Amino acid sequence: MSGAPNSSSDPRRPNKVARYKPPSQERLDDPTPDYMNLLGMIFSMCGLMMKMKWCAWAAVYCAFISFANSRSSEDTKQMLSSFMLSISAVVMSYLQNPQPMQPPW
Amino acid sequence: MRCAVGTAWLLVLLLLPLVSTVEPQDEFAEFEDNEFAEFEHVIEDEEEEDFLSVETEDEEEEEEAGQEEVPEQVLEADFDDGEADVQVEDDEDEFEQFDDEEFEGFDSERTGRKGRSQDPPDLKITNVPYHLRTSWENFYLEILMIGGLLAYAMNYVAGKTKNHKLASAWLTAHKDLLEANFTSVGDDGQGAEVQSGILMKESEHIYSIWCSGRVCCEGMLVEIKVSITQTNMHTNTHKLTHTHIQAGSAAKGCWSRSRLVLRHTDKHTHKHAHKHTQTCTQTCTHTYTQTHKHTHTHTGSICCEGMLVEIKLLKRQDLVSVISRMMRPSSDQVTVTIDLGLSDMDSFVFAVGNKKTIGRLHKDMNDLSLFVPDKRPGEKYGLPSGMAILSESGEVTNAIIDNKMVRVLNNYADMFEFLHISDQFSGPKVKDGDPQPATKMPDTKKTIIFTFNVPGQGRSSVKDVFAMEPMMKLVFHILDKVFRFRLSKEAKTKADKMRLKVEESFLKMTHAQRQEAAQARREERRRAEKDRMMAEEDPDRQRKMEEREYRRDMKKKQPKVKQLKVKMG
Repeated sequence: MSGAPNSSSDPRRPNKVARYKPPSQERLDDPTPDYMNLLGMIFSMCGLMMKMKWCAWAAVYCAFISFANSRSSEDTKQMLSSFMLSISAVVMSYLQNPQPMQPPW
Repeated sequence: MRCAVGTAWLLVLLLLPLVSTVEPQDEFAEFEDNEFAEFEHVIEDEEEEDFLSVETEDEEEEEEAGQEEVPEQVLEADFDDGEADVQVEDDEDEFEQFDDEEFEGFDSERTGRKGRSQDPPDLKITNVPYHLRTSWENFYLEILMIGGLLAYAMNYVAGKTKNHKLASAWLTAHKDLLEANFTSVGDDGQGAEVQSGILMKESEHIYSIWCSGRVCCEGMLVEIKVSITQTNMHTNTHKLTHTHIQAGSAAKGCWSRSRLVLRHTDKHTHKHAHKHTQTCTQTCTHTYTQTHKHTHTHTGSICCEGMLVEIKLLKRQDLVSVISRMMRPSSDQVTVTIDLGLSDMDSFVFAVGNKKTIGRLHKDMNDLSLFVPDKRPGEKYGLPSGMAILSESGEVTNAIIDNKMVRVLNNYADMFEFLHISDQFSGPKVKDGDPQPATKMPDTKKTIIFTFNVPGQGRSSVKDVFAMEPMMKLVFHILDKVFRFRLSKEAKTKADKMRLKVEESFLKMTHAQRQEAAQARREERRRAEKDRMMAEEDPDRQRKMEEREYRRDMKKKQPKVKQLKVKMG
C-alpha cells in the first residue's frame, strides 16, 4: 500500500471505488424467523385463550428460535413483542391455574 | 378483699386460654367461697348438660360466643368500679328473666375454651388434592422446559461466539490479499465517506464484506458465515483507516501521472473513451467520468465494479439447527459475488461445480436454464469425478478450465462448491406461484459467483479458514481470465443470436400480458378523467370538458377512416 500504484502490476484503482448498496429486494434465503414468529403468535394465542400451558411454552421456544435466526436488519420491536406475548402467555396460564402442566399426550 | 377477688377473677379470665393443663374442677374450687358460688353452680349444672351439645353443634357455639362475651365484659368493668354488688344483682335479675335455653351456649364457651386447651383442635383435615401440593417433583415438565430454554440460550452464546471467531479469522486470513487487490476493503455504504474494515453482520450466521476499487472489478462481496471478536474489529478498523489515507494519496499520484500518459497516447485514449461512452453510460458515476481517461490510459478497460464476499456460516446459534445438522451434516460456505462492468466480459454463460449443486442451479437459475442446453461431466476436462460443467460453448470451457484451474480443483476438491460466470445473470427463476408474472425482461448483469466450502464439515476451526487462501487466489485468476477472454467471431454471433431469440420468445410469451396491462392502464386513465369531469362544479367547464373528450374520441377514430380513404383513392 505504499506510494502510487504501479499501473501494470497493481490492480487497485482508488478512483473506481463503488459504495456498497444493500440488495434492494429481500433475498429469499431464510424464511425461518418469519415462520417462527407466526407460529409463536399462534401458540401464544392458544396459551392465553385456551389455557394450554404447553402452547405457552412452545410460544417461548418459537420466540427464542426466531430471535436466534433473525436478520440484523430486522425490526427489534417485533422480536420484543413476540417475546412479551409468549412470556405473558406463560405467566397468565400459571397465575390462573398454578397446578403443574399436564403433558398433552 | 372484694377488690382482690375481682383482680384474681380478672387474672384468671385473662390466663384462661393460656393455661391448658389446669383441671376445670380445681379452677372452680378456688372460688368456692366467693359470692358468685351460686352463680357458678348454675354454670356447672348447665355445663354438664351442654357439654355434649357443644361438641356436636360447633357452629352454633361459635355464633353465640360473640353474644356471651358481652356480659363478661360488663362483669369485668364492674369489678373495677367497685360497684359490683348492684350490678351483679341486676345481672342476676336479668338472668332470671331469660329462658335457659336461650343461653345454651353461654357457658359452653368456657368449656369450649377448656376443651380447646386440653385437646388438639377438632378440625377436619380434608386431603389436599395431589396436584395442589407444592412439591417440586410435580413440576418436572416445567423444569424440563426451563432447562431447555437455558440450554438454548447457552448454545446461542457459544454458537454466536464461534461464528464470530470464524468470520474474523476469514478476514484476517485474506486481508492482505484483498488489500493488495482492492482500494476499499469492507465498506458498509453507510457513512458519507468510504469506510473500510467493516464486516457487515447480516444475521448471527451471515457476514459480508464489500470490496471495491479494482481494475476489472466493480466490487466484490464476500459473505462469510462467521464473525469477529470485538478486539479484532478494533484493530481492523485502525489498520484500514490507515490504508484509506494512503489510498487517497495514491489516487492523487495516479491522477497526475495519467495526464502525462494521456498526452503521449492521445489517440488510444480517445478510442477507448468513445467505446466507453457507448457501452458504459449507465454505470458511469461522477467520479467515474472524472477519472475515466486516466484509467483507460493505464489499462485499456475497466472490468470489475465490486466484489461482495458473503460468509454463510452454519446456524451454530440455533440449537434446533445444530440438532438437525447431526442428522444431515453440512458445512460453512463463503460466497464471492463479483459485479462486472458492462464491457468487461464477452457474452457467455458458464458454470462448473459439484454435480448435485450444478443440477440444482441448472434447474433454478434463469440464465443457465435458458442458455445452456445440457450438463457435461467434468472428467473429460481432467476435473474430479464429482464435478460437472454447464457451458454455452466449448470455446468457453476450454478457456476457463485451464491447467491452473484443473490443478486447484483437483487439489482442493472439497473446498470448491461451484463457479458461475454469466453475462445474463438475473438470479433464480420466478416461481410459478407468483401472483404477478413479469411483463418485462428481468434486469441482467455480468456477474461471477464463487461458492466455497470451509473444510471440516461443520466442525471448522480457525485453521481451516486460513487454509482457504488458494481459493481466493483462484477468484482473482478467474476474474482476470474472464476479463481477457473474448469469443471468436462465430461463437460471438451464435451467442448474440441466442440472446435475441430468448428475448423474442420472452416478449412473445408476455405479449398478451403486456396488452392486458396496457388496456388496464388506459381504462384507469379514462376513469380518472371521468371522475374529474363529474367533480367539476362549474357546468360550463364541465360541458367544455365533455366536448373535449368527445373530440378526442372522434380523433381516435378518424385516422382509420383516413387510411381507408387513401386506400380507396
